[in-house]
Amino acid sequence: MDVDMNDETAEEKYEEGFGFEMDRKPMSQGAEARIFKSMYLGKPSIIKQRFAKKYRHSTLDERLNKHRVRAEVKGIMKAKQVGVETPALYFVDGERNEIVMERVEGCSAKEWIEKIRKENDEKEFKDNLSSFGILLGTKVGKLHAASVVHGDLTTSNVLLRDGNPQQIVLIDFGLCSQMKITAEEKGVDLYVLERAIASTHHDSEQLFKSVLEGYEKSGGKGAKGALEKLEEVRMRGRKRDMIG
Amino acid sequence: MVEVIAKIKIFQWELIHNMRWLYQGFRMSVPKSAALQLYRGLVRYARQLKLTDQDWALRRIREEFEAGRDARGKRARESYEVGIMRDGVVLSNPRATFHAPPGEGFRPSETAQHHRQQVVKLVLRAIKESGIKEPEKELDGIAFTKGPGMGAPLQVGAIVARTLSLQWNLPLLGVNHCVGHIEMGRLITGADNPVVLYVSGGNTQVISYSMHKYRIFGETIVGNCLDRFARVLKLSNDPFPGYNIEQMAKKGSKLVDLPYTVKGMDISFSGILSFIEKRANEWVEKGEFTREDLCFSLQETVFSMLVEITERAMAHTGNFVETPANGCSDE
Repeated sequence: MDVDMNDETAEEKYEEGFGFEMDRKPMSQGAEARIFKSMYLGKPSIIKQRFAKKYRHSTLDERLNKHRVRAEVKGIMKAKQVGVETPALYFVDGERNEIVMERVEGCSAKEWIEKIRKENDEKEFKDNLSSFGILLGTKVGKLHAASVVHGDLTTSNVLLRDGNPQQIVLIDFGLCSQMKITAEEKGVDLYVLERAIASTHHDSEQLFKSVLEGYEKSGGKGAKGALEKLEEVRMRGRKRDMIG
Repeated sequence: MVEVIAKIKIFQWELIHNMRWLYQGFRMSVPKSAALQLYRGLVRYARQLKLTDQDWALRRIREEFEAGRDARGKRARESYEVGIMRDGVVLSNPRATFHAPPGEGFRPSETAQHHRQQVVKLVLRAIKESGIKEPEKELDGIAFTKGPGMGAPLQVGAIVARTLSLQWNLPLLGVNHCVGHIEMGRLITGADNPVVLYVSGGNTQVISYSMHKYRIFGETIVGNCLDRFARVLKLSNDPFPGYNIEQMAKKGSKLVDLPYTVKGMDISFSGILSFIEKRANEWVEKGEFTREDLCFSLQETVFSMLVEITERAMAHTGNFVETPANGCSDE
């Protein structure tokens, strides 16, 4: 922008807004956000935009979107600190509820699992799955040990950099919560993952078993309590009798 | 480890089973003293539990106790339907509904009695309305609800269906209650492979068909939340609490900041309830929020959460198909 420094209104012009435009190509749409492909200062990036939901009351919607952007940024940072890989954050626009972050090249764990199911025979598939599961469990355990629960663990929210199952990148921390985390919340977090796996991949009980194995190894002293709670959460489920 | 888990399961199963007794005891209006005795017995039993979280068990027992004590507000109607369909077109569908006396839930035995009295009339009417002359030749099969539900009324349906199938020599098809509702919704809306938000008195579930099964992606009990909320505000149960909340909500305008808990595709209302239970009376007394505002906020928050988990399930399965919100065909 061309600004005359002697102009008294120059400052106001700057103050007016932090307008920026970035090239954006729609990439995908999830439940709560749109993802755009973009370049940020020459780096491949994505823009995650949490748009207003028409079905919600506007006040509630605004509150939630702001809260989730904040939660996501904080969650990603905390995860990095404890050595769980997440995409690098480039820019956060609190006004438009947008986060610009690194574009992780590779595929999601969901795609990877279905791919190796096709390519490998049964034994290899199981071995691959369990080594991946242990690693994933370790990562989740690390997060929990640092009092972060992800809140929406699914195989689509786990990315593999360059398709390599050793390089796990966790994304989508919008529902994460931090600080005062009880064993109950950790248990629920694991339960969410278990259900997500069961509903997306058939015959993959092996995967969750090894996730728990990895989790137990890494989770420190809180892990045992969380696993006990998991058992309890499983028992709750739906009302077993459907009277009334 | 396996053994321990199995033990926990048995313990909890027994507990739930006993609680069911408690629950039904109140429904059937056992003498107050007997119910109290049962309650105390259960509490004593729960205190002995070693492998289960005692606080949880005690809380659940108390909840069931309270739910049973004023079982009003629970589902007060139960209907029996007979329908005849051909190639997805409903030819006839007469129904008879049993209304429980005001302020009470219905009792299984009375409901079954009602169904027994009505069923023959209904079947005859269904056949007549559909214009079928020779049911033996024109019908292909007979389907009935095989559960889950209350035993006694279900039995009526099963016996009638079996009798008809034997008499007319037609195949008999038992259908799961929930799946029946879903398939009905699918047929009428014409949706292909939908994500379904299934809301009935006792269940709220997000369901979708995946890998050859209907799978539950997320669940909660919204009915219970509304009922208990209505009790906090002392709303009338006539015709049912949800209706009264909705009428009040239409007049509300201020949005109260309520907890919003979505975990994956599950949601929890307990936070909202305890939040409101603690503060509602104070708010209303001080005039900070009116009761109408509270109803309005509850509806906005709760329904947003329900829509959101449905949306999440859609994103998860990759089915961006229009969703038939299977609005409580029971009630």
